[in-house]
Amino acid sequence: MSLVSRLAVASLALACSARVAVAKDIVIETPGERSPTNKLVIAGLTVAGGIAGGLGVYWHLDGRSAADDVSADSFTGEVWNADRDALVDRADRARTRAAIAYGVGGALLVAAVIAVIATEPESTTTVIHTTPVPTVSPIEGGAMLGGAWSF
Amino acid sequence: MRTFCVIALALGGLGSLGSLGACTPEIVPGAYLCGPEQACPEGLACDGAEDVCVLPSAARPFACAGTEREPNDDPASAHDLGLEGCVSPLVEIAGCAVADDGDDWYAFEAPASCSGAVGVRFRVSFRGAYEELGLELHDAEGGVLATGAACANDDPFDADELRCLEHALTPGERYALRVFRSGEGGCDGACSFNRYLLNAQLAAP
Repeated sequence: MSLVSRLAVASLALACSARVAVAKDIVIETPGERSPTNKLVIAGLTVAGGIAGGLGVYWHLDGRSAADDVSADSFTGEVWNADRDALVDRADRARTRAAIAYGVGGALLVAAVIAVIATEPESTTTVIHTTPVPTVSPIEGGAMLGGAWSF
Repeated sequence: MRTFCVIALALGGLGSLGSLGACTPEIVPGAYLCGPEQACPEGLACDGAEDVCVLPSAARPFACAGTEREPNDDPASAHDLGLEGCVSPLVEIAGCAVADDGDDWYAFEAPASCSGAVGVRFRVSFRGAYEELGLELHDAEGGVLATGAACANDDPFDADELRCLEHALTPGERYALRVFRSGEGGCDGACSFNRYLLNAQLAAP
């Protein structure tokens, strides 16, 4: 190969490599998939927490209603009787149940959030190299210039 | 963000638990009258003087100041009601039925010269916090003619128990009314007493 030809091929290779060097790699990040069991556990914890919380609200309101029925901040003129005693007992029972339900419901919801965080699957990253690797192959009477990509 | 969610959940839960205090009844001393057998809300006690639920330190023993004339423990010593006329004015007597004086007797005579039939009406009101009272109308020989029955209290602001008795009278006959402790609601002897207000009137039956 003559010197002129060699210089031409080298110039062409350099030109190609400089041109493609500005192209960036393509990075594809694929989020991890949760397993069906994982989804089921988290959904179960959330639903159970919601139900427990709902029951807590129900008992809370029931207890408040019973307490309001007997609460008095001035003379009522009414006699304290067994019905009012029963309302006080109902308010106490409802308060205890509401406290337990709130505690259980809160714990389940916190557990659900922790499960979401702790079991988050790893995402996978795929890089596509868009920069071609220039190839120069001598052939009879000259050289063949090419490029190779990988992804 | 996730940390914030966990903290918010925890604070929400604590807030809910804190608001459970609203489920506890708040009853100030003096808000309620004592119930049957001196029943009061937890933490309060029955004041024997005013029949109101108060702090235990402020609860006074049962007290009674009646206008009945003692002794009146049998028909022979009965307190005369002074019922006069075919339709008499309403007579009102405040009495006490206490442990050692559970029977009070009252006497009256039916008018002899009325154009129509004459009857008598009695009504005794007493506190429900202590032992219940009963009424009996006796003839001159001591036989029981009628007994009082529970009757409705028309006054919505009056929590007293009522017993009523009505009976047609024989002109000129003498009668005796017995107000007595019935044995019901006496707290097993701890509140075997009561105050009462007796109303009596002669009227057409």
